[in-house]
Amino acid sequence: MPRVDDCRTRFGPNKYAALHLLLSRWLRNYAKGACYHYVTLGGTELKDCQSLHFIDPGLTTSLVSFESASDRHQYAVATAKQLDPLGIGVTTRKGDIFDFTRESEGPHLFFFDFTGTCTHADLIVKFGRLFADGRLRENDALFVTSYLGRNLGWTRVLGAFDAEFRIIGVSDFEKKKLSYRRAHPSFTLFRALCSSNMQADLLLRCFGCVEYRDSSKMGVYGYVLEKGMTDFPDFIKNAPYFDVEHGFLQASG
Amino acid sequence: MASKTDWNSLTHKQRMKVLAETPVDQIVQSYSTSEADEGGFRKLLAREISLWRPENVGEFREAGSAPTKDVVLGAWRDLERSEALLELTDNSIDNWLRRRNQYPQKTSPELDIYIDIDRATHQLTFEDNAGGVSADKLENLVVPGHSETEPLSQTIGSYKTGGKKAIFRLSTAAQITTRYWNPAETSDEAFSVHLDQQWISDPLQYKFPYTLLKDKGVIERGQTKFVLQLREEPIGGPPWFNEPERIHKISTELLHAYSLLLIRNPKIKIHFEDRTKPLQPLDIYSFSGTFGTGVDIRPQQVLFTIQMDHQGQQYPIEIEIVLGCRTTSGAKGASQAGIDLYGNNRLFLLYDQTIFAPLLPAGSGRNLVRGFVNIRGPNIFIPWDTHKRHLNVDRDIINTLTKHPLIVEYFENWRRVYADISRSTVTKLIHNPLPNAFDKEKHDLHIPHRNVVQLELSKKRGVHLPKEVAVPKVMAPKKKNETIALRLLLSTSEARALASHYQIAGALHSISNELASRIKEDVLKKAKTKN
Repeated sequence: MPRVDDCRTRFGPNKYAALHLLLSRWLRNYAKGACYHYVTLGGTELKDCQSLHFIDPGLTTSLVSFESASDRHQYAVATAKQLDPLGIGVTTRKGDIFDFTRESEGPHLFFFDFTGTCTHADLIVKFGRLFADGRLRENDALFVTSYLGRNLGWTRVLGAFDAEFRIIGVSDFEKKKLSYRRAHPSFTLFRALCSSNMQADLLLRCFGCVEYRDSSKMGVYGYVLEKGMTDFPDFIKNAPYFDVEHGFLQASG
Repeated sequence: MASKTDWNSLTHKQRMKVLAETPVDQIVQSYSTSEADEGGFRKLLAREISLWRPENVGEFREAGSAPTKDVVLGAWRDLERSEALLELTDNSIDNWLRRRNQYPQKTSPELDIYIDIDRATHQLTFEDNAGGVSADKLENLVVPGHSETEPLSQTIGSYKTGGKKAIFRLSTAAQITTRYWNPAETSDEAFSVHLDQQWISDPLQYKFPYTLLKDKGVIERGQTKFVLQLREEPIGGPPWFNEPERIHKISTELLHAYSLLLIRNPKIKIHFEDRTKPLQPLDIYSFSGTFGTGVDIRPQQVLFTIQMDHQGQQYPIEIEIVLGCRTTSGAKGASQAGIDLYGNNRLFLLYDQTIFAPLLPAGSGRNLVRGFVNIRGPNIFIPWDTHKRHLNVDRDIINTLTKHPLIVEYFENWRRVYADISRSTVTKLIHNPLPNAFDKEKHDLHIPHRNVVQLELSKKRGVHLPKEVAVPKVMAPKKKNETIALRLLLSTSEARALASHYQIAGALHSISNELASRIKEDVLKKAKTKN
């Protein structure tokens, strides 16, 4: 018989190690000003909210966590209640993070903590809408997780990004696999920028990707948005890569 | 500090010499360009070095010669017959409109174009009264690259090759007679250009003979007449112009291409194989006119006005987008689903279903889509190819058409309606056409909703259509109250026990329905309390 709390999102330490590594890069290189509004898919445990608050409460001027599943949302509400006395005020919303409405002009920090692969066509449309209507805008930062485990077959997976590989000049099969691991959410985000015709208005930078193993292989990818133009090869090539499991660091390029 | 030399003022040879002999840092100190700062200039130099490899450049010599007529000689492979006739027609319309604009008093009040085929001589005559051509501009009729049409004029027949290609496509020899209506009225002469078979087939022969007509009375003032000796097609077979299907194709193509233009400019008349009656514009839209409480799917026009850049100058463009609903959801028939594309009221793409596909519904709702996009402005901005039959999707304006939030919002309003209609009793809702397809007073299509919206290309966020832009609507079909049947089998003793529990009296078979509803009621009550 399944345990009552089977639906809880309990992730292992590697996930948070990866996220914190990336947060560190962002804080050292890109964080601007003291106050951020944090929008997340915080699951039932809201651990990322706690981390952010621990690092600096200024990073969590407001905290909103989205959860679309009813049962998980109830757990998230309960966790938020437990965090409240600690001064961590999390607003838990039942729904889709892409329905987020911006209530402040200040910079936002987003954590799109997906459990699946960040390549689906609907994500291109949804991110495109966020870019187009300014809910994701310059001075914001976003972290995206994506599943790196088993797939439908590399030929099929890589085939979907044939144009991207041609642009960045990667033709070798193994190198394509590596590029995919390092950059597929970037491919999705750039397609989203193009679909919303914002590639000439927003400069999207990937400041790093960190691979880790939780219950399966995952990656977390960090981005900042600035005013400017996104050049696809620069966008992809300048992202440093780190593997939590193997301590494997690969230079950008 | 001495002022820097403009890099662009150097000739190519001079630039190669400097690039080969001078380090980049030194070039930057001595030269500059007005188009970029120092960083930009360095990038430009890096690109030039990469492109020309100046370190490996020896002494320059010169090669090259004038182009041949081969490009237009190959037109018979590129163009259909109807397209060749459309090219000639485009030129006539452009010439007449331009002239009427410049010399309204010295231009025929109506443009009459006549296209006739003489089946005895196998000659096609194309005749117009657009003003004629003066002696010094006769090469505009014949020599590729010569034309009065400029890329920035609001025309339909630019590229300076259309009419010439048409001659080469259709004929083996041609005589062009023209009597120029001189606006100054200081001369009145008629000329005849002779293009014999040898001239038409010789790729290097550009000079052509022309003669002053002894009797100019054979042609009206302002008229031009092409008499084309038609190619033998098919070779050895019965001539194409005796096949009704081929003649029908030409008249249909003429009507598709110019119906909107003929409606909007009734002074233009095109006669095809019937000098008594011009072609009558087709109602190629057949929009639904359904309108009533909670429903309005009558067609709508939004005229988006924009400014676009060409070589550093801004030019006004109008993007007219008309959307409506078909009166049928059938996939076949005379009128099909799709969006047509026009440039300056001249159709170049019919029933397109791809360019706007991301903005329109998928599935059966797509069969309801009907409308058109008409780009009005300088020819250079219209995204057609040189034959005006394909859309060049790489042109900047396509990005605006498919991605600007105001246009996307407009399509989205209709996408919702198409989707709602496709979920309702479609035929009943849409089958009523508009009472009149054309508005004869306005010389336009009958379109109940019209708005003008200014569109700023740089403004992409937080922009919405003004409130006065009507939003099409249909009552969204009520969601079906779906039910599922649960089967509950009880033994007689169990049924008796439940009847007793709910205090229902009577024979078991007669109380089974009531028992079922009491059980449902009771269980639902429990389920709701728990939630």
